Amino acid sequence: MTDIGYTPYQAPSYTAQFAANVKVAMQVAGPADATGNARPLRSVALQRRTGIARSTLRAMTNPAPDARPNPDLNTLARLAGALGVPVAFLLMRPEDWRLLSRALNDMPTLVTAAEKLIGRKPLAVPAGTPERVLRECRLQPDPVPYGLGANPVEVARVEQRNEQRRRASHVLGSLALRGLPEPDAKVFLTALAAALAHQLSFASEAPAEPN
Amino acid sequence: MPLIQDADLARVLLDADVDDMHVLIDHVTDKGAGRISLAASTCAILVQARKKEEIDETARALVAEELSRFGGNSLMNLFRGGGGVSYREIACDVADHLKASHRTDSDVAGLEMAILEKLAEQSLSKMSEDDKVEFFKQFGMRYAAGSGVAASAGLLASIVASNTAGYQLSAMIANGVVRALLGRGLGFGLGPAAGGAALVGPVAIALSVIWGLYGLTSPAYRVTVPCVVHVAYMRRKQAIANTCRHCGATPASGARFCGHCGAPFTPAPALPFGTGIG
Repeated sequence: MTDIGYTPYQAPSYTAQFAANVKVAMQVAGPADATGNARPLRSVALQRRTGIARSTLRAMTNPAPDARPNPDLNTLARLAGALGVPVAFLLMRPEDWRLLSRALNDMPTLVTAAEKLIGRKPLAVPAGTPERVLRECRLQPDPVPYGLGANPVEVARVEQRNEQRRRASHVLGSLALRGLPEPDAKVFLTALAAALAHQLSFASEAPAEPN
Repeated sequence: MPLIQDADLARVLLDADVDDMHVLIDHVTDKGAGRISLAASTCAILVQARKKEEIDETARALVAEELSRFGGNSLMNLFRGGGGVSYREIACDVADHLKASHRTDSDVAGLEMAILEKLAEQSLSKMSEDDKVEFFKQFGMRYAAGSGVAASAGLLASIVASNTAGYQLSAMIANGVVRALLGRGLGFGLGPAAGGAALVGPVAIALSVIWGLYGLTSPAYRVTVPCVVHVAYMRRKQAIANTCRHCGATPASGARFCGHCGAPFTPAPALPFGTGIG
């Protein structure tokens, strides 16, 4: 891969996504009203829970046009804690949620493959297992269609996608399996890492889907 | 009692040529190698059936069943338990993902043609201008190099609308898919192999593109998309075999001449182009 410095994840858009996430979460995170409808969590209450000043919060969620708010991890963690979700979820973009749902849809096939490879053995799962799961499902490497050989550009694209998927499967495998999961969770976490790696390998190419 | 319950598949599969059934079996079983979501016993039966001269009804029904099951796996149906879905639903889903223009009340043949049109469109976008001229020439159409996307889309639409040309297009795309995924051509005897291979490369590229685009990334689509393309071709072939190519009337079964216009009736129309079988 020669794309040094390339990343589909640009920090400025994350700031906007984070602000939007906190805003929509706060709109429904308050106590229910008499009829059971969700009510907003007021910034006063959030300040009480997190110790984050309302002015700081406002600067984060409604930034001035030229401002680039850059909350630190400590702030992120406190906000996520107050809203009751993992920090990572406050950073998810709509396309990340879609990717996650597509990965979950692929789970039945991948769980079957992971079950076949790992079984119920008490051994630790090596980091390369998600890639082996994808290979078992013929999803890695993506076969180069016959007749494509004459077109080096397209072949290079397929190969780059394969390499990206291989790396992502190892990275996600290491992340998902880091906590030494119990035997039955191992299969699902391996399959999940494989499913996410598979979907991620297409994410940088696919145009954003309409809502 | 018919073994295939799905009316949209029953006639096509039960009347299908052995060669076409072989293609479908190869798509479903990944050329006999098996797939993780295909029961080993089912795969063994299909591989066994493929070796014989005749494909019996049970094997044909099994193909229909597996197609419906793969269709079920490809739809967002984690909580439906991976049950089968109707062929129409599969075709509709593929058409939706390809953003093919179709109406909700289109019949299955219409859905399939919309899918083929989209694949052809995608393939055309990967062709050089000279190839496009050659491509449309095979359908007896004039395309001036450099006329642009709108012109080629218009010509394509008229191909799809025509009975004979639509069949030719379906044969070309199905052949391209078979060559790209299975590494062989369709075994039909054809005229001179003049420029027929022009579409194979672009179809191969179109396939490698669509796996990643349009949300067709689920592993099950690797089975359902090629199968839908092939069934579309089979349906077109049967439809054209059952109509007079001169006047479009449907002759009585077994007739050798059209009862309407008197033209000789050829059940298997020759394709006026080669499909690059080699």
